[in-house]
Amino acid sequence: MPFSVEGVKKMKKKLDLPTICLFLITMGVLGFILTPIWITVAVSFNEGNYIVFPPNGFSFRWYQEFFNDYTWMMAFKNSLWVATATMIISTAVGVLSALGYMRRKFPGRNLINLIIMMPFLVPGIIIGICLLIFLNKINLSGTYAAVVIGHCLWGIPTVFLLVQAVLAGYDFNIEDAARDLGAGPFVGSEGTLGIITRAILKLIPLPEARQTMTAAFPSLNQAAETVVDIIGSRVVPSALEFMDKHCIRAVDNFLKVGLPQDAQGFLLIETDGFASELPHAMEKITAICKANGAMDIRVAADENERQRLWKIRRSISAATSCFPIRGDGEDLVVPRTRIPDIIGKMDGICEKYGLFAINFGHAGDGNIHVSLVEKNGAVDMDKVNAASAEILKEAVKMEGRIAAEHGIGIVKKDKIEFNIDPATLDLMRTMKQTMDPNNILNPGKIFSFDSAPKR
Amino acid sequence: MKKNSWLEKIHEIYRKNRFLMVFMPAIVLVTFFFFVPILSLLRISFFKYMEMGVFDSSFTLQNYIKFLTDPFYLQVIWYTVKIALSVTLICLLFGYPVAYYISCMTGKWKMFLLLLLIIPLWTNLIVRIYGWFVILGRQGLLNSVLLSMNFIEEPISIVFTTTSVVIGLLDNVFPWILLIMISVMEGIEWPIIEAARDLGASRLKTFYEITFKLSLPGVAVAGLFAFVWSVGEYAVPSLLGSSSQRTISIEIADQMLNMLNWPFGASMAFVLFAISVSVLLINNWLSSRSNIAR
Repeated sequence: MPFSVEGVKKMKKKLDLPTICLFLITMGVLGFILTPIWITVAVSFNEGNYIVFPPNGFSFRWYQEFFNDYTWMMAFKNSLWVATATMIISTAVGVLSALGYMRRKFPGRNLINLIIMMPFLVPGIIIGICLLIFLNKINLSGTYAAVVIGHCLWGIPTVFLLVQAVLAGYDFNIEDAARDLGAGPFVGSEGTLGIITRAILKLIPLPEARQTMTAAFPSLNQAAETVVDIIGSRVVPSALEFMDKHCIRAVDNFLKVGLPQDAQGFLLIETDGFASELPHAMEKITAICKANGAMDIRVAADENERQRLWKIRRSISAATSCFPIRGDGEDLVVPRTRIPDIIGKMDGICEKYGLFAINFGHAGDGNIHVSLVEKNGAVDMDKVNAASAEILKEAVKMEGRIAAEHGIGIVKKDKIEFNIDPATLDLMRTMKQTMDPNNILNPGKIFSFDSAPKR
Repeated sequence: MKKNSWLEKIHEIYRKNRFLMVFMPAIVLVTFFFFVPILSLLRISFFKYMEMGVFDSSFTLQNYIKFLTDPFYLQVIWYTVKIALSVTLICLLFGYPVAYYISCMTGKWKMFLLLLLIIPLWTNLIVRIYGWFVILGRQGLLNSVLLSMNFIEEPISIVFTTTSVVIGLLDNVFPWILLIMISVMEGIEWPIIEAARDLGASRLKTFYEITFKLSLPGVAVAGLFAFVWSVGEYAVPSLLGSSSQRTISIEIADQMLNMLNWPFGASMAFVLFAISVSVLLINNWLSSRSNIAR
């Protein structure tokens, strides 16, 4: 079994009716196929002349007779010779074919499989009479060779099939090896240390029910307080998205859904779970929003309304695409209580450069996406880059990070030292060069290597 | 120049396909000792039988017509197919739970069960048939047990009946069928089953939707082998069968060895071959159809 031995063990520990039935049927079938064998062994020690069970007395009489009789011993010797020759030929030919067959895919592969397996799929009697006639014709009939050839026609497909099955087996060690190497450094390496060949996913069943609501706030601080209070109240929302004032206006211009124009902050909150629990959670959240001075609360009554609320969030990209945006997709993260602080700082920085910032993001994670927009429409990349660097530095001061879900990639390569000290960076570079000396894994991301890669 | 490039091309093709040489021994052996003989058998099946061991090489369909219209032989075909079908059904019905049970086991217990399964494969069929004589015979194990428990008044005869043939054939195919089904069920990855359980499917639903449906191709292959091996088996019906109810393979051997009517024997062999191949094709068709449906 590839992974999760625990699953199998779980199965084994269970001792319920189906398992007992399966056990009994298995024992029955195994008993059925084994009985004639042990019976034959038992009868071989019989003293009498006839096949009876239970045997009449115990003796080695028949064994003595077998080993003392010249005819029987000759037959025994013949059998041994035929078996040995068949074994050698079948194994050599069968293994060779199976290795070639499993090694690679090539045109005609299925045909070769069919040719080799054909004698296995044809009733034995047909092979028997075919060989009888054919070997007669080429004067091999009645020789050792004839018997060996007959057996090989069965032996080769058997070996072919068994070796194939072994070769096809999953290599259980790969996963353990991966664990020993430690998946740690790979997390966040953005594919620069290795590639994913197999992934184990954590699956979560669809929730029984979902409830969605939005709330607009007269100040960003109130929205941020709401986020902290919601999480503090032990409600775990499945989505907690926020938009700032510029974002609210852009979306409302685009969708015309009547969002309050003077709102400074906007939250979209979704919870899921059991249908019976949700009304309680929603009540709690609504109360928190109201206590924090929310001015416009909308709760989705059904799936249609839910989709309408989500449309507000989903329209951000479309609504902001008409601005000459630079520094698009800026992606930073701060502790969620600091969201108003970083946005306040942004306003100051933007003012200085003649820009304004459209902010939205995942408030529950403190993750903000910043789009810097030129106030008078002219685009000056130097200004935008300088502003965005200042904003990122502010985020780092607030114990944030310059990259959240989007990663470092190419765009933020030159800003990585905002977050990571030179010693750590050096270690990371060494690691990259050790794991990937030829720089072939996602080259150019996170680090640039100007000099030729070390060998 | 041109000639040279041709040579180079041929050399290139040879170089790229050189690895195909590993199949040569197997293909040569199978072709020479299987495909050539079976084609010569096909030719013989259209010959005309003159007298014992003498045939006329003119083309005739008479042998096939005789085999496929004579009520006696039709009954033989039906009997053979019926036995093979019952063996296949019984085998799948009882084999499936066993394969499922063994494939769910782990560690030493599983190795032990697999060993028990492989022992019969190390034991020649003739030896096992002999064992069935001891069990099913008039003075055999079964009769003495039944007599001592007063279930029957006098020994019943099981040997040399259809029942004993089915028992012998089952014994012959069971280990193979189980191994095929176990290997297919082991191929079903546990994460899929666990995923289904995680996502809230009941144990029964998980079994039906995942294990059962994914194991169907294996069951189909197992059934195919069970049928093909049973329909053409010679040793079991000739040793355990009755002299009045004969199977195709016994008729073939009789015509080939005793009557020396090779054309007729060959034509019967090809009808048997056709039955096997058609089952193979039906099987392929069914599995490809279920693949599309999936």
